[in-house]
Amino acid sequence: MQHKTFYGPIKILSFVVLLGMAAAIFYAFSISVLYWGGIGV
Amino acid sequence: MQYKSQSVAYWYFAVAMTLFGLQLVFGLLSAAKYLGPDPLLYILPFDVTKVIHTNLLIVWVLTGFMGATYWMVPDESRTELHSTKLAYVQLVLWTLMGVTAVIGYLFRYGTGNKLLEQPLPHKIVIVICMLIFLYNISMTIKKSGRFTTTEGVLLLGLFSSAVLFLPALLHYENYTVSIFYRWWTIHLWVEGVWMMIMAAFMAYLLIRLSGADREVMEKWLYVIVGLVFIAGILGTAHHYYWVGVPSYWLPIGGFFSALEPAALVAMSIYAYGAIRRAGLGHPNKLALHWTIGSALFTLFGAGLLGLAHTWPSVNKWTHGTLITAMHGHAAFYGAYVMIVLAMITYAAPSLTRNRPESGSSLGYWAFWMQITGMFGMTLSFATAGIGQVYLERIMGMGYLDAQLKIQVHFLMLIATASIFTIGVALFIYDFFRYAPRFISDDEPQLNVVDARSNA
Repeated sequence: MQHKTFYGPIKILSFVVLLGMAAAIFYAFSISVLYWGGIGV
Repeated sequence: MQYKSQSVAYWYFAVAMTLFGLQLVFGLLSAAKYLGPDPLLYILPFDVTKVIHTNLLIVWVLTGFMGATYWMVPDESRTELHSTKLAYVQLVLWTLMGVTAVIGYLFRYGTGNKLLEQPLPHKIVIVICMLIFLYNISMTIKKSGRFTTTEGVLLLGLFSSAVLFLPALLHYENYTVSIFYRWWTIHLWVEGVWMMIMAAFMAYLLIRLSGADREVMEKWLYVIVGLVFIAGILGTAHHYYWVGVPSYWLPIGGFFSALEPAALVAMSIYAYGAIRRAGLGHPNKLALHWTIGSALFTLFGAGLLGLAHTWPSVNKWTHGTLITAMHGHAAFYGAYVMIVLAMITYAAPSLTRNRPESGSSLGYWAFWMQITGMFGMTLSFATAGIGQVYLERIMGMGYLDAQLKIQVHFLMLIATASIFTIGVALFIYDFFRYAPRFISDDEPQLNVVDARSNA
């Protein structure tokens, strides 16, 4: 039932998710830096 | 890997890892919203990103449980799975359900019942998948005639999970009634029957990895299950504080919740005792890291941090604040994420080609970065939560004003969540970089069996 053909697509999908994770880190950092207004207490 | 059909676990783990990565994307998007005017506010508001973050967690952890069960049951019962075809049908249905649910949430298609937001058609698919799963596992055990205590605890946990999902199928107009029954599913899953699933995986791993005596380990398993039942069932009441139910739930919740860490202390002693008695002879040290790490992080996150705000006189201040997020992140990570990663790490050398059994250095980086990151995230939520409780609940400051004052802790949250995310990314990369063993008829039977597999 296992097919070699499934490994390629899911590996590619995993790389897309890894890129998404990197983009999310970059996005969260950017928001932090852009809008950080000091400690604010 | 002794049995060909165990290879279905690979695909469950592959789907679980992909969804895990996606869960963190939405977690980071949610955290970023605490720090500034979010450009994505009207496309992906907080309620949407948070729903997707928590739902993906539930779906991928359950996918991991299913994969780990398909790996463990043939090993324990010493037979092939009843039907690999059914296992694949179940995986396809399950994945379609998960993916379409997430797409639905993007378009506000959901029930709005926290953690059980899946629309009714999706819930029906969940029930169908669980029935296929339980049938397949039960028939496998029936066919073999060998039924171990570890399997018994696992099956009890899985069957109970399916039964406890039934209240989630019903819709209640009254919000208090809806909350009351929601926790029958969610609490009794995560602080009840899922603990049994976790304890069964831990017993399996400790028996295989440490070579500890099965009889001793399984007797301890009874103790842990007993403690989970004694404290966990009535411990549900700690979700009933100030939600509109009678006040007698307050002392019940306080007393039984305070007992809940007992099972987790027992589990940690159990894991440590197994390693101390039997040594560290197994080559898969990385799986041992995840297994022992799971026991200890569960004690910290679920046990200590749960106890920290479970008493009604404390919880009246902390209820619904970031203190809950502190406990929730550490508890889920220790108890369920780490045990699934432990099972994957244990099975991976047999499921994939050319992977070193002792684990790669990337695997160790993944472990320590995740531990460091999650510990930092927990502390960030804790400091933010303590600040929130004092400013908002004690001093009476408005919600958004208090959020501005505690914003600094979200900087720390994003920094530590990034470390955690990199750790998870390394785990995902390490999982996918080795191709699975594709078994064909002309290939000899795989026999990568560890020395203690007949334990």
